[in-house]
Amino acid sequence: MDNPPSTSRAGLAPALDAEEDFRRQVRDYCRDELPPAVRRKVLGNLFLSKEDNLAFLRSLAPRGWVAGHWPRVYGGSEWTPLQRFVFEEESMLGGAPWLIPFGVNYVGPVIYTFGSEAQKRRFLPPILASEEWWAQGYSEPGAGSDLAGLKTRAVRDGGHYRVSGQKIWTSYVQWADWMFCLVRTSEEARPQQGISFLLIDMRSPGVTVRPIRTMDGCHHVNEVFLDDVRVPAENLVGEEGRGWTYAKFLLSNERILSAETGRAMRQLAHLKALVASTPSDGIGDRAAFDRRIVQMELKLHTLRAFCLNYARSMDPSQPPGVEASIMKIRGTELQQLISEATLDWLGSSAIAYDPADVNGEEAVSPAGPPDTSGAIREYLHGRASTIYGGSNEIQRNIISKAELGL
Amino acid sequence: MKTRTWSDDTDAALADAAARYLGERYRFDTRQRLDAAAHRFSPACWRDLADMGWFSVATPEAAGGLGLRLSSICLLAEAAGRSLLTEPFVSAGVVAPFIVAQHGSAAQRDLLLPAIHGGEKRVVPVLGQGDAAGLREEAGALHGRQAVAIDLDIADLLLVRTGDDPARATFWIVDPQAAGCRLARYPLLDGRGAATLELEGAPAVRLGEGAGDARAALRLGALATAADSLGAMSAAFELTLDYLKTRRQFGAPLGTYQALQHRAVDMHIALGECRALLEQAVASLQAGAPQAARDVHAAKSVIGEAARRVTQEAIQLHGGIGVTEEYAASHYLRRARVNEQLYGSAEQHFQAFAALAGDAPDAF
Repeated sequence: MDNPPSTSRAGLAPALDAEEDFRRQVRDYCRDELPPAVRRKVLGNLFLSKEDNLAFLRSLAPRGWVAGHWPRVYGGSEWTPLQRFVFEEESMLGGAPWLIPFGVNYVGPVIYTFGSEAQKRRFLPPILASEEWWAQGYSEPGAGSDLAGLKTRAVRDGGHYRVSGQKIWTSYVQWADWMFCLVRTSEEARPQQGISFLLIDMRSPGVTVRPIRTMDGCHHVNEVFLDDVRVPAENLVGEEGRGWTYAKFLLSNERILSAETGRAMRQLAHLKALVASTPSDGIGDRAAFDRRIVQMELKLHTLRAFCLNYARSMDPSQPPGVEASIMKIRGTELQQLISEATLDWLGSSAIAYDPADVNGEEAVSPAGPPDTSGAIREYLHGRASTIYGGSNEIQRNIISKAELGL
Repeated sequence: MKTRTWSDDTDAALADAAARYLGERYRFDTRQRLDAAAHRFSPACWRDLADMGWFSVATPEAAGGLGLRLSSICLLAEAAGRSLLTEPFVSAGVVAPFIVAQHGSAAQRDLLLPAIHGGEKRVVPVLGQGDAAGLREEAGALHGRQAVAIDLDIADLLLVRTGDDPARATFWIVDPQAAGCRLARYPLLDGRGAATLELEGAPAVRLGEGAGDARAALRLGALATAADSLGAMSAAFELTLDYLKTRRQFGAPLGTYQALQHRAVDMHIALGECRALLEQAVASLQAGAPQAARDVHAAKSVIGEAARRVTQEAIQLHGGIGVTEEYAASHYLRRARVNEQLYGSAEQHFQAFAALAGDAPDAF
């Protein structure tokens, strides 16, 4: 047998150093360039306005990080999967908001992968410049987990489609200029066939948005009614009837973001700081609670090992595999564990909640430390994480079919 | 399932030879027909493993080995767990040569290492873990007791650790035939064997000079044992998946029922997490990274717990056949349970993990 090559620290150092160097850059950004008011609201788990989100996006632009994972030819920085993971982890740990993904992470890659040259020229620059806000028109009242059962119809009429139907759970569409939308263009034997991917101008006549208030008292989601909306045929992405393929491509991109290890690191650090600074009237046995914290740390350690292992080895030219589903399941489970434990520590003060507090500029709470309301909001809003983006049960179905062959 | 990629040609060659040898010569059904002694240990198999280089992957090249190759150690330990190998690979093939190479004098290395690499001498470590009491040296002779020391039942030489502080340990070479050294041998629940050792003034030769750090050897043993458990749980999962696809009840394969599908998915997720933890621990230990100890504690703790859970699930998803002696499923559970008690339990590694600084900053 041949002698093995030396596997000293020197052999591994360049990759680790490059990763560490990029982590430092993201930390520098969070310290020096992330708008302090945004950072404060994020650390307090307050609801962010459209302006807050835009201020965050604009602060990323000078470093070329708005769409860092896009190809250079479309204005990105061609991040490796590892760089993308490191950016998401370090920025969220450092107090940056969740980057609302509909433009940069969802429709952008669909357009540059499947769209026409004219669509790329028209739609990609305003996404990069944060000039146009996008929303995602996927779910319908009768098509949630069973997305392929969607009924919104688009009928070709000369140079236009006429679109009628209803979308629901449409996040932040109240701020949107555009909505990408799955619509049915024909009835086929398999419901996945006959779906098309349309880009709809929210100013079009016949578009009505109705807010849905969620249990945290905030306005995240909406219903969108489409009543004979005329959409130019050039706003069809790719081929008619191939929308399901594009939607699956997009959803797999969505799931790789859902591990949110940086957010879990931040929330766990927040809990540990809370435990160190504030007595609890809700915890009987301190040792048992400390053990719960370590169990969450071990789950976080495991999730990070899984994500890093995947990010270091994945081929960026291939769509993400079922690993993305695993990250979604584990990331959201962990986030819910941490927010539950935080409320347990806060005890009686965690039932005092005025939604006006989390829609303000500063952390204030009727009882407990000032960031109590934010912790409650994080818990309430976090109940949705195991439902959206394909519920965790749907993720298990996907893994069962695609990976295990069951 | 995706094909594995190996870190270099040596790993690829070791893995290929191991898979072929164990697949052809170490089949579960064939070995079930062996009597107890032949099942416990095969001298021919031991020689074959030596010939394939299994006992040379924990020794530096300068001392006649292939280098300290953690990736090789783990892939071979994983193959051992997968095949329910009863021969003492981790103890006599990995940890013992590592300790001799690390702590032995030049003369001791020259004497012992070639015999270990070649499979002529089975040197088995007694590390003072678990049920041990009073292991100590007085006037050049050893005293004390160690219960349930794995592989001691088939040891040619013992490597006994004294000293309560793992950072300041001394190792002693002991002949198990010597006066003052008593061994009570018994089987373990997975077909391997162990012994309880009573030392009452047993003559001993000190390995090297003065006290040394035993923690690296303990970490190596923990890591290799975790890899062994990963192999056992992988094999149990594959057996289960195959069963779900072929066994029919109520007119359909079991695998068409969503309740069972989701349980299989949870087993698959656990396997992926365990593999990631093992690879991270291998990488950080090999690189000498500051978080290496914490990574090893995480791997041994999580894999210990997950291996128990996955192999128990394997039995449950099989139904009645799963609890029988003649079927492999229960053997993986028993393997995992034995491994849990070696080189620190899941709980002990959990507490050691808790004692070290975390992934998240303590405060902003």
